[in-house]
Amino acid sequence: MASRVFLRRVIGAGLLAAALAGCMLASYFTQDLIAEAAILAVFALSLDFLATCGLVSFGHAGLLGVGAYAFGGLTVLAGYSPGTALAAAVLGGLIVAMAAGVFAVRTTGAFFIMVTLAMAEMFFSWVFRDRTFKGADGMGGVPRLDLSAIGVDLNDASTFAIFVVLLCAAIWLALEFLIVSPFGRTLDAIRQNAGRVSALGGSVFAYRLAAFTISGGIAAFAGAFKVQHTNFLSPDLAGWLASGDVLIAVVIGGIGTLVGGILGAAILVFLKDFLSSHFGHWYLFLGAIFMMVAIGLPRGIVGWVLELRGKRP
Amino acid sequence: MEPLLRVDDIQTYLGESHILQGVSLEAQAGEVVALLGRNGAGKTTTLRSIMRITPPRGGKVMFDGQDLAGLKTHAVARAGIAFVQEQRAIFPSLTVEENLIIAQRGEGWTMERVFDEFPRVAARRRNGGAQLSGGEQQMLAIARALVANPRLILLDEPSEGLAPIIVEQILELLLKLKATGLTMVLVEQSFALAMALADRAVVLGKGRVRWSGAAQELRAADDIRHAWLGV
Repeated sequence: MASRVFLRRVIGAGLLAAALAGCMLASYFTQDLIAEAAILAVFALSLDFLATCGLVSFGHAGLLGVGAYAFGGLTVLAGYSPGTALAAAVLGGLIVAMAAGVFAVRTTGAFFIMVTLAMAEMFFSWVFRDRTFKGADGMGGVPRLDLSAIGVDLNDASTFAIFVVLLCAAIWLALEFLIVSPFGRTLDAIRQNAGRVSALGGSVFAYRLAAFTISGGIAAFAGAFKVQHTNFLSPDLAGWLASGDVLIAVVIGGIGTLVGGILGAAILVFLKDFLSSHFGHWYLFLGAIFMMVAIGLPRGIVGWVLELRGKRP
Repeated sequence: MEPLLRVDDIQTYLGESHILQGVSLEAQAGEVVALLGRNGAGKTTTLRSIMRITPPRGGKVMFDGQDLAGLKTHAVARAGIAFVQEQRAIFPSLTVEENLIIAQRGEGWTMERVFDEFPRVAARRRNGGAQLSGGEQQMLAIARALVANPRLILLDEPSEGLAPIIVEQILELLLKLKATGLTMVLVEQSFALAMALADRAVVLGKGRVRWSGAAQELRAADDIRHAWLGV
């Protein structure tokens, strides 16, 4: 019988193949949706990686926003090259997550949800009001990475979609290896019973802070690509609705499975597109679908598939 | 000689309840000390107080000359004390190997060495913690304590809920570890197991030390055994 790790990777490889095929064969509009899904998937990965140690954030869009605003601000307002801005955005995400994590990861459960939500809303209200980034109006003209040196034109929809799909795959693989490493297994042990881990000599605070920091760097990376995709920076990408969306993606796909977040992101993006082109109140339907999954498949789709294969790790 | 562990008049509260009302005990290096008493006497709380999972409000715990006051639980563990908790405390969704890897620290006991000594655990190295029998879980819990290469192991009821034949195997294993010179403080309901292992015994009753001395003397001290252990 195949192990859960193996099954997870098979599902991931299948999704990657489907996405790449879509990038090359599908219409312009579908390619755009694939790019959107891949970026949301990176964001979902950051949230799900954090969930490995038992922390579920409801303010992760704040960290995505840090990356988005760092990238948008540095390119549009300060005139830095997109490459420099991308590095700064990730660094910014790591630093902000570490600073916020020092306070946030001391809490768990509902308290952690509220603390992360509050922190994200602080960031949101700042960028919403402050005119530096044009406040609520948002700011256009955010450039994409310039890879013309290696003959890649990211302004082409298909190329951009392939590029972000490959980035998503690379981050997913890196996290797959990280969660089976001793560090990752300790995070999983903390999720199961934090007290036991400290009795074994592991600093639960230090592990959780490290996970939160890594997660913040990845969320900021997703943010930098989100604004490159739409060429537009606006506060709602850091708002609580965005935090809710990515949480829905992770829960639908299967929390604690990594690849579930990718599947959930794809489902969410395509479902949103489908529902919003047919119904005005599409969040109503999305909510109903979310509830059905939450009740019927509490471990999400991938979690359910893995469960079918038995309890073997 | 300064003992490896010296617990001096500790007072521990759980909420408002005054659970330990001045517990003192010592363990010399290489010694096995049994902590005996009825349910609710404060045995587990004593171990949890040493680990600072329930930090004592008064008194002092010295380990190898270091005052443990103010340390977090993980720092106590890193100072060289391993805690084999009640109910084994294995991580169910980690494999046997992973349960060991996350606890591995220092030199001496490696994963390979514990697998040599614990063939039953080795046979299940790729199985999940939840798939192990109670006895296997107990052995894994002891193995996991060893790979942290502690100087002191606190054992909370290693025989709990296990069949007599398994208890026999656990005892054999612990005797082997004792022979290597490992210091242990053992909480045990099974008087026979405790007597087979311990050099010294401390009898707790209602949060206080009622008797302490050589394990052999406790066998003869009928009044103590009747009053505080019911055996």
